Amino acid sequence: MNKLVDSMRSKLIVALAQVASKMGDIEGNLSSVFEYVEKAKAAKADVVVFPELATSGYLSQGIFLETAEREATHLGRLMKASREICVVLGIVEETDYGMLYNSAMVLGHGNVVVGEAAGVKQRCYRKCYLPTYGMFEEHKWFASGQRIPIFVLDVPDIGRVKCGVVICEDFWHPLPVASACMRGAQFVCAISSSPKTLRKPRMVDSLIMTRAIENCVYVVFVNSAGSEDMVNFWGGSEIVSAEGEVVVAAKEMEEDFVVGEIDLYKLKKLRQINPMLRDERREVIEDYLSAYEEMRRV
Amino acid sequence: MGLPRELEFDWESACQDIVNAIRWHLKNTNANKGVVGLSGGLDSSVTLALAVRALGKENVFGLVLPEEGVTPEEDVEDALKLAKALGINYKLVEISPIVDAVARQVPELVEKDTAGRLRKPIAYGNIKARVRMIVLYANANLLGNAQVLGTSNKSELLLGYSTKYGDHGVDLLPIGDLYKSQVRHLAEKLGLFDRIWTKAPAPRLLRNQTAESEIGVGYDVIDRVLYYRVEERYDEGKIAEELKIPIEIVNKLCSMIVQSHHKRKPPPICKIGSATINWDWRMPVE
Repeated sequence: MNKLVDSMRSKLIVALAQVASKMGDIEGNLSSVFEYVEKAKAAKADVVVFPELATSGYLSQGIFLETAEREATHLGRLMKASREICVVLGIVEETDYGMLYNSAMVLGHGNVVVGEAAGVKQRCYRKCYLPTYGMFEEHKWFASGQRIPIFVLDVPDIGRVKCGVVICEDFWHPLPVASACMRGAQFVCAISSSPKTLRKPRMVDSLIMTRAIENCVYVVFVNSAGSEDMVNFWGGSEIVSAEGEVVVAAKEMEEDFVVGEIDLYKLKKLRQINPMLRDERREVIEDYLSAYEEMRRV
Repeated sequence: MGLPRELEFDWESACQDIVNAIRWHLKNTNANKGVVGLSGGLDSSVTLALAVRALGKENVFGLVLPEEGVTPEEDVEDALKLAKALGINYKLVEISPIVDAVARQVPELVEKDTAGRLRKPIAYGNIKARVRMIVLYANANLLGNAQVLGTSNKSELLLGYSTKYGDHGVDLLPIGDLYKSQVRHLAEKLGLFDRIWTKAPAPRLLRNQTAESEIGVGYDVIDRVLYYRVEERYDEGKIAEELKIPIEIVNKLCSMIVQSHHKRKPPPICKIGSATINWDWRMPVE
């Protein structure tokens, strides 16, 4: 493409790396991440998105305690690999206080892209809603995030693109994606490690579609594939447009890699036609908070 | 045979999940072969068919373990017929001499009352399930990198209708999240011959024993009660109302679930240190 055409580019190319991570094999999983980053570059993608806890595997239990340290030794290589592409990667983040977070790191231009929410800078997105029901025990291992930062990506020939990130249980609740959108997100990466149950794929499909439509935003859903401890992760990653249409979808159950486009021009027009964000009302949000407090008082 | 609405499921998708899970488990335990005990009944037949799908016929070994005078001839015929049809290697081991040897050393097991009935039928029946477990593991060990695939379904697991370290003494339970009716449905869909999926469920630990007659109701009722109690968390009264059945049946089944909690857990460890296994020290199978 010549420069003139490049400068008019409004379609962001996003790669969905639906990996099957192996529990506890941090080095092996990161090797796979590097391979898919290269594959995404070869596909001319601007962004490549990986599932939740892609470096450790989802059911790694006690292994989470040592994951962040083992990830850290590869950070330099990760930054180097992200010079020509943005990478959204599910990791275990550890703070200086020894707290672990189920996080997503965003990298671009050879650096970690720092997110921002209400003036607070945050190095990673930290999962806010940690499930502890049924088979889940995330709160045993992780601390909860508190805010939904926005990550500004500088994409060649497009410019600044705002990206939100939410992780699995976060998108079962309406607020995180809504917050990201009110902070300007043009697309939201909804990464997950969703274990397959008889009803799950259909429910998640509906949720992703709902989040996209209700916020008039593109949602990039990237789920794990493969098995861990006799639990199967169902894959089915997809990009869903602001009108709830599936732009591209990966296979169910197995590792897969697909590339799709986010049409930023179309999104801008849709937001004029379908002004969900404009019509958001402070009174209703305040009432929501009151209702929450009333519920907790009972 | 139709499934009740509550128990309907995407059987092809469930098969694929089970196949993936079997492959994952064997790969992560450095095993490449599966051993399945074949009774000629529904559960073991479905488990075998799925094991062959997952591992290939050359990597699955079947053991037919009848007991003289207790196992009906048709069960042995069905087990052998399926093993041959699926093209697996198999062996028939008659367990009576082993059971008799145990009974000789523990004669109280076979003591009878004045009416000629066993005084301790459950203790005696359990020996047979445990003998089968020993023979299955002996063969798995002889094969080398092999794992024993259990055949328990969710209904039996929930009711505790099984023998600790007998049919429970296995490495993995591929169909352990499917109710009995769902296993029957799967057998039909997998094309297993009619006699297997229409046969009355029976543990065959004692003569003429069938599961449904012991519990007192059919699996069509049992599975729906279990479904509402476990998946939907309904209370007993609501289940009886929903299914239009006597509350006594629901109470009986629900109390069986409670009384068998211990069977579904690893042996509890008295907590003394700060990193007690399974409480604090939780590690996945890598």
